[in-house]
Amino acid sequence: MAGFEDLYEQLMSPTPVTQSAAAAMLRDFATGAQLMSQHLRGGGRTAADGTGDAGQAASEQAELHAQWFDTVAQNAHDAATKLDAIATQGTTHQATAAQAMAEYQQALAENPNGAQDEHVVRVMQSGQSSMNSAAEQWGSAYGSFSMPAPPPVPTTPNNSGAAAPPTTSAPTPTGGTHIAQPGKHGTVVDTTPTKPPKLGTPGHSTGPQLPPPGTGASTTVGTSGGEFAGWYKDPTTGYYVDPATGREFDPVTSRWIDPVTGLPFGAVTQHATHLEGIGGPATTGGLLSDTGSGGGTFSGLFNSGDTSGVAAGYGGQLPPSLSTGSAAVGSLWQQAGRSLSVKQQVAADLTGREQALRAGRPYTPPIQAGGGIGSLGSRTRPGYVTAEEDEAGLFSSPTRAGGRRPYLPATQAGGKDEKRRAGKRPDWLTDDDVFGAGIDEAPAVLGE
Amino acid sequence: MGSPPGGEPTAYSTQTSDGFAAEAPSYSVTINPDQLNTAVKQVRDDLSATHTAAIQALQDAVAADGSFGLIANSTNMYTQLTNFIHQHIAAMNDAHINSQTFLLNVEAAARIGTDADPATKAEAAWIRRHMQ
Repeated sequence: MAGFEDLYEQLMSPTPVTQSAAAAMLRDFATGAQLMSQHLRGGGRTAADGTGDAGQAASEQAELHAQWFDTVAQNAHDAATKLDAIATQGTTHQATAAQAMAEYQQALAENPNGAQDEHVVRVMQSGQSSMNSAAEQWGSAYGSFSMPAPPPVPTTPNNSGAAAPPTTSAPTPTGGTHIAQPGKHGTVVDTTPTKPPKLGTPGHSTGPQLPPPGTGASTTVGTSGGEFAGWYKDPTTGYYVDPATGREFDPVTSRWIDPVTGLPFGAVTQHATHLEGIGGPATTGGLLSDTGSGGGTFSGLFNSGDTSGVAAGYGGQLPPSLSTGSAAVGSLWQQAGRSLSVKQQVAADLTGREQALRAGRPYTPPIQAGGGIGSLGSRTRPGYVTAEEDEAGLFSSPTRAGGRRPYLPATQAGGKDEKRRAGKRPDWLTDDDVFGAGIDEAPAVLGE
Repeated sequence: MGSPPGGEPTAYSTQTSDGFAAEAPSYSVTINPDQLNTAVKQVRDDLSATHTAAIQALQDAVAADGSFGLIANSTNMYTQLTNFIHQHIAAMNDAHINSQTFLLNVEAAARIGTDADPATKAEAAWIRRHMQ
């Protein structure tokens, strides 16, 4: 089994949203074939009407070619459906990886002095196991993916040499008809792929146009989500997750999600889901009100039991699991804070990746940027990160002599400059992101 | 201005110098068979390069670099998709069908689809409203 870090990097390396764009292009391929088929039949009818036996022969030939294109269109459409399924599956696998990493980092943050080393290792092993399963499933789907071969090419009288060369009509984008002459004058195409695969390096300059947020395998809520544009759409639950706080919203029932039970609660929330009349999210109140607390984080409010602050983040209502008044309410608050921290990090990670892909720039994880995990305690390197030999299999970094070496996950392994950025709002939240929530800058809209 | 149709084939320059277009006849030259062959080859190569570029663009759209990442069997995905494109283009050529026209149709469909997509329109409207 690969190491935790390797599995995470492996699962995060594909770009399902690009695969979704590729599926759309395959559908356009099918459409191109349909258009060819239609024009061939049209040309065949014209030929059959006016030129006797020769025209009839040309018409029959055109029909054969039209049928060939019909089959190509169906094949391309079916392949696009299969590719879409793989892309959708990929978003779930990446959510699994992001969650495993977030939980691991939360365990790290809660273990400043090494007292919880066993718990951290258990979290890592659990994440490693779930990521390994996801990688296997994804690889299996890749391995079984196959595109159909072209149907047999219709034989032409020219090929057999038994009749006069047929004429094949084909459409042009302007609606005219181009006459392609058979024989030796056709363009010779090199059918060998000219570019070897460059895996793990997303291409931007020559790649496909990505589908807008909210469509295809995009996990970012698009403009149809109204005020929730820029949030993360959980591919498993379908809930919208705020990358700034970790709050979840169910767009189906229009209700907030209890961070402990994972169930919708409260009254139906009035929110705008259409573009017209919408400004940006509210910053001083209402649906997407400011969830910070004196510069702290939303999940930090749970540690301090700030009922009014938490309720404000949920449209004024406290999640039911936090208002029971039972003896366990203290641990429930803690559990809610942890849950939000993980969800916030997953949402920030995955929306950040997609935004970076759209902007054509490399992705820098905003993990150290004052997120929820940091609020759980000051973070120091725990003793366990100097792994014993029997734990070495959990890590992918090369070991020092003696089998003990410091370990930092790739997403946290940065220099002084990166540490200096801790506490700053990551620039991906505001830079190049027309779909971002824009919480800092946008005017108030609803619910005030 | 060269020979009238029926005489020796003559080539005319389509370029005119500034200020002389109205008064000077365009440059012309009687076509030499060797020159013609060379010129035809150059034009054919240019057309072929354009066609190859169109195929490459389609391939890039269907199997973008890095799209499938480091997951096992990602090369299978890439190979399947690129082969699909090239095999169909080759089959069209075998059937003496103009694959260039087919590629134009595919590209046109992609443009129309994107331009007409409600999500694209909403995106554009949002940008107009908030970015200007």
